[in-house]
Amino acid sequence: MKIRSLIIDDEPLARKGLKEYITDTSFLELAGEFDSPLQATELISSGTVQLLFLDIQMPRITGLDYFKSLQQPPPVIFTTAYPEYALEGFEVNALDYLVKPISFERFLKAAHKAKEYYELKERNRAEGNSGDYFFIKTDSKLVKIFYDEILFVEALQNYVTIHTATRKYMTYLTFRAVEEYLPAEQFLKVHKSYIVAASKIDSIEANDIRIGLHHIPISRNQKEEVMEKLLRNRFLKRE
Amino acid sequence: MLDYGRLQKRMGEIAKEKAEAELNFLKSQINPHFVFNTLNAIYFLIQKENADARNALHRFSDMLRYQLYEMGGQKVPVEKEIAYLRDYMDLQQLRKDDRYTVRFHCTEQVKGFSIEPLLLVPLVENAFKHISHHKHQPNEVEVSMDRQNGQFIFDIRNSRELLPTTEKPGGIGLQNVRRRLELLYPGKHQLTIRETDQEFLVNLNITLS
Repeated sequence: MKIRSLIIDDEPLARKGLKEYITDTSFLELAGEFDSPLQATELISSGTVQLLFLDIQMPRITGLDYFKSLQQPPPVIFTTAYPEYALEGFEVNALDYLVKPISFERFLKAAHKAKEYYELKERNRAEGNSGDYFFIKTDSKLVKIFYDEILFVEALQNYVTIHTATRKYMTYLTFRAVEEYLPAEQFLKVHKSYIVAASKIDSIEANDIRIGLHHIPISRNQKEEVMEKLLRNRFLKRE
Repeated sequence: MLDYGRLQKRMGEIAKEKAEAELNFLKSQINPHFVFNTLNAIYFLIQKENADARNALHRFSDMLRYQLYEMGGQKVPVEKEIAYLRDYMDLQQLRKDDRYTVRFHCTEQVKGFSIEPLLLVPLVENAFKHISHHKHQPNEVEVSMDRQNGQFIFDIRNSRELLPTTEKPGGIGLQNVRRRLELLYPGKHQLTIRETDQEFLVNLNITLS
């Protein structure tokens, strides 16, 4: 598998160089290139970009601000003219920072971090799917939860609440970790703070999903994408 | 009244000098963002097959970055200063033919402590400035570094000749090093300079705290 990589940099020669490096790296492939972040949003939200090479200082919006604005950001490697320690970028969870001018050697080191990230994710997923349950820590004990018990998952600041038909479990986890752990075929992120089990949905009205007595919002700018995924091959209608 | 007038005039002059100094300082400031993005662009203009050119440009960038960002006065890990010196010496070697030999020795012990940034650089620059230009004998710069009994030991040697050169005498480089050492390592350093007709040798010992 090759990691689909997107380049965003306002300077053509900087993009040309990164393209050259991506082509020369066996496990990367170019998903596209843009000279401005705002043009990239559509491609990124389609979910096909697996790695982002993002310049920081650009005319309309900085790479950092842009990255923070993304709903479902792919792993990112920042490229910048500033020395690493001068960056506030450490607050966003970047895989790496490449300081310009960028040597191939240094680029490859960063690319390997992306490779490791995906290998680990794949292993977790493979192991996660081997059973039909998992454990979480809640109220200082470990509790077993079956995938098919879950109705939806809600993000609450530093915690995550997992709702089942009978009760809810609060656990100290990041929302992103849960999102990555749950099998994507059964669970869908419909909002920046909600993941739902597709099979548990009772009805959808406007931007509101109902599961039993619960109302779950669909994020407005993801509505189309969410509906497409939920209804794929499952929408019986008069053509 | 006369004194008052003179005082006012003097104060005006001081204000003018101060403004000029500030202006000169501002002129000397180059926007690092422009510099490194430009270097990045030039880097990628070089065909990748030309690894020597890319490598040299990269080293040059590392040197510039070190100069621009380590001027804050904070001490730096000695490894950083060494990397800078190596880049500097390699680029000097690049510009010279094989009549010139540049050697660099550094023992395993020279690591894990901090030193003032760009302290050693003028000594190395000085060696290259005054190196001999013999046609049929070797011309050399040799740097050695060691650490023993809590002392950082830095030696530099260059071959020299007594022919008149275009380089001005006066040794402002060495003077600067002396002044900086007195300010930064008072009572904790020893700088020894020896010269013969063929060689110029500098030895610097710093007591690490």
